[in-house]
Amino acid sequence: MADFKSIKVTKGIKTLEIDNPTGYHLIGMGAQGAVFKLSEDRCVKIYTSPLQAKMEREALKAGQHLSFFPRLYEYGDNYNVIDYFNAPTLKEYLRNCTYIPESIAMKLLDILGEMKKAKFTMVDAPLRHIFVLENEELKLIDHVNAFKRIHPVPLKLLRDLNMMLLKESFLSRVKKLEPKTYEMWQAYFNENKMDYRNIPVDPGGDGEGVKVDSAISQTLIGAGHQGAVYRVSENKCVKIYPKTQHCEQEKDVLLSHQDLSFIPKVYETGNNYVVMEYLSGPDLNTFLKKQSALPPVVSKLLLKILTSQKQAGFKQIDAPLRHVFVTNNGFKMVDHVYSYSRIQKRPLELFQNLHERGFLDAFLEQVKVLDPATHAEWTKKPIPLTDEEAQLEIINIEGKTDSKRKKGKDQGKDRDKGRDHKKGHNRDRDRSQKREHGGKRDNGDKKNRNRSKEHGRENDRKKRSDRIK
Amino acid sequence: MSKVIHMNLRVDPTQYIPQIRDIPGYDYLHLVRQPKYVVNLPLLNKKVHYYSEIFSPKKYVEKHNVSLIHAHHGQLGLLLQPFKEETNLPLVTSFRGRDATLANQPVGYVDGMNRLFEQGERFFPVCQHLAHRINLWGCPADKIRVLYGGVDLNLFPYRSPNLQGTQNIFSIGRLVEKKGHHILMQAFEKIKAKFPKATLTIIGGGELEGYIHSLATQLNLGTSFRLLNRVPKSQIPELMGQADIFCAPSLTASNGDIEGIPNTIKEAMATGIPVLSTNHAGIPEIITNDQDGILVRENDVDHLAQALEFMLLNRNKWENYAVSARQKVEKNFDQNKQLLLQANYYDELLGGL
Repeated sequence: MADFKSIKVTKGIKTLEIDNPTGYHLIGMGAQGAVFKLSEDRCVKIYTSPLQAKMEREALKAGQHLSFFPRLYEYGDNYNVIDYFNAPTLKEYLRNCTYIPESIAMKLLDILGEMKKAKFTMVDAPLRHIFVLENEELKLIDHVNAFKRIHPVPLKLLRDLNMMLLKESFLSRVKKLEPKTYEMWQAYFNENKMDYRNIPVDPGGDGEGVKVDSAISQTLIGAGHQGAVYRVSENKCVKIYPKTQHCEQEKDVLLSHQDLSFIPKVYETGNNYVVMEYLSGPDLNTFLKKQSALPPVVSKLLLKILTSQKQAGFKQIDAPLRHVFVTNNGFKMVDHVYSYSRIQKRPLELFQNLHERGFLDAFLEQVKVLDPATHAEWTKKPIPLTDEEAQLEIINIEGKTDSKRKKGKDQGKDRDKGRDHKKGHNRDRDRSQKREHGGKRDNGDKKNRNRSKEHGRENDRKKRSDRIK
Repeated sequence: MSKVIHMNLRVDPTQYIPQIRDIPGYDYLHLVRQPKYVVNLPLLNKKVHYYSEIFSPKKYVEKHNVSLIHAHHGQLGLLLQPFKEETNLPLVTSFRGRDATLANQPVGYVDGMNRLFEQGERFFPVCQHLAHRINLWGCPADKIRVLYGGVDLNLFPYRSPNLQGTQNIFSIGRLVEKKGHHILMQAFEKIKAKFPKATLTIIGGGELEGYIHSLATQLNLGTSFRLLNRVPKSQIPELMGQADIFCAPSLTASNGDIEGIPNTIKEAMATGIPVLSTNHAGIPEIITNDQDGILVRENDVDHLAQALEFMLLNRNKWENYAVSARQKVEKNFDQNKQLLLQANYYDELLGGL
């Protein structure tokens, strides 16, 4: 077999470009490089940047005495040959668990303790970077940022556990096993409580947006194109916008229509934030996934929202399924940034969403019975079922908006991501369990972002969840 | 009125809703793990909450003035342990079928259960069989209260067995291995020639749907067999009315999964349909062989075929079976009585604190 050194990994426009003249299998690919399996127990990680190869190598060298580190066998300017673990990740291993087994809690605490002792600044690891060998021995991969990022508290680990509803179980174990560690973590979270009134705005127009320290990422519900949403109390959340213009636009809509039942209650506003009602319940897309037929009441309530929008003078008439929440106070809808600044007479995104769920015909049938005039209005022209066709019907009002509608980059969708690990970019992570071995980058703090920026990692930056765009 | 937090798997009519919402003398909060577990809109009300959305357990419990937590499955009891620790509320955990087995259970399940047995105040297995199992796992006997699930007798009024001569055999249950539908189909095939008028109807959906269809083809069951899936729970009583014989061929699945006492058996027995089932898990606690119906060995095609034949040839026994079965259900499986018993168990626990 040809030498793995003949494999070339370079940065492409959206993803890495790989030229692999060898027979070595690609087992993972991340932002920093790609991983190829060399044998049953070894793999090579080939980096696009020698700097990152060196960073990880230094960390690997510093951790060779640690039992949970992969062994470093060989290295070169742009590669490191390390252990290959043919084992489930901790995320897979804990699948369906409703509590953290004591043995795992102890091993995780040991790992964190050892990392701290070894003076790593990144005392943290996402579940997908931890492998569980047959004897339940844990191995931790991806150490590129071991000395670059500063996570004194395992923010990623806790956030991942929280997604699986295992955080409380883990913390309860930590409290018993290592009370001092537990207190330190609590103190850290208390010191880093979200202060939404004092979050700096980055006016940069390239989508970089507001930077929020990852220390508060535990309360992040979701980050999207126009803002990020954080839970601030039992019944309140705050949406923070990178662009004050977006904030103004949405505030205007929300405050003018507090009387409409589907508009979330607003409690407080600032230049770049709106504190609003926390909506508890599934989004309508999630709900409909579990339905074999479209319940007529759903059509009725959707129609009510759309009719109210029209009557209230909204320019954009739409209710994408992921923006509608099924609460025990009725249907509520989020994301109104463009309600006044885009002219759209038919709920095109809703049509597309319902079509994807297989319910568009049923919906139109039900609307025909409930409101024949609206049905006639909606169906006098064919309903566009692709984004491109739909865009032709949407008119941006000059001066009111600054960007083209981007599907899937909004609060609703991303909010969902925060709740369910199987969705959004988290789902992508799920899919790439094997990639993790390839050292898929783990997006985090400001320092790293700046470096990423230097390296022109636009694509990667978009994936960051603890940042507001 | 004391308030109980109930956690079940889904907001779904098939998920023992009366045991959450209709306990005499107890108000409820209906908790599910995450919003995605709401599958039924009519059941969504202001008392439905989400575990993942609780910001502060202490404040939540204070605000809602909760006295007790009831997890309706073993795994949910495990999940709620930290919540219990933080709020100091007593925790009751129900055990149903698979909960007391290692079937598809996650890593560390038994160890977790042992901690739960230590920390939880009460355990409500749905039959003696499961009570015995969790006791063997380490659950102290004094914490165990068997709580049979009840059926709404108003929904399943008694009617005498059909003695007209039709031979419609019904089975209802999810299409999963432990329900044993495949055994019933094979047994049915064995008697089909002798009883050309006999039909077999299986009602249920699930992972084995494809297999059940292909088995029907392979056994050449033809029009004497039908599979009805996606039947709403509300239509079950009516369909049940068409049955001459009800069969629940339950068995221990290859992964160890077992039943408690299938509700469909209770419903058929309440309706007055002669039942035929297996000596599996909690089923002998409701059916005494040749008294309330017929029991056969589980996973035994020939034994089941013989029993089907016996049942079809001995219509004179049906009335006795049916009357006895109805009495059994009225005594031990009447929903109203069982909900009252559940309330009594809560009283006992809360009164003793």
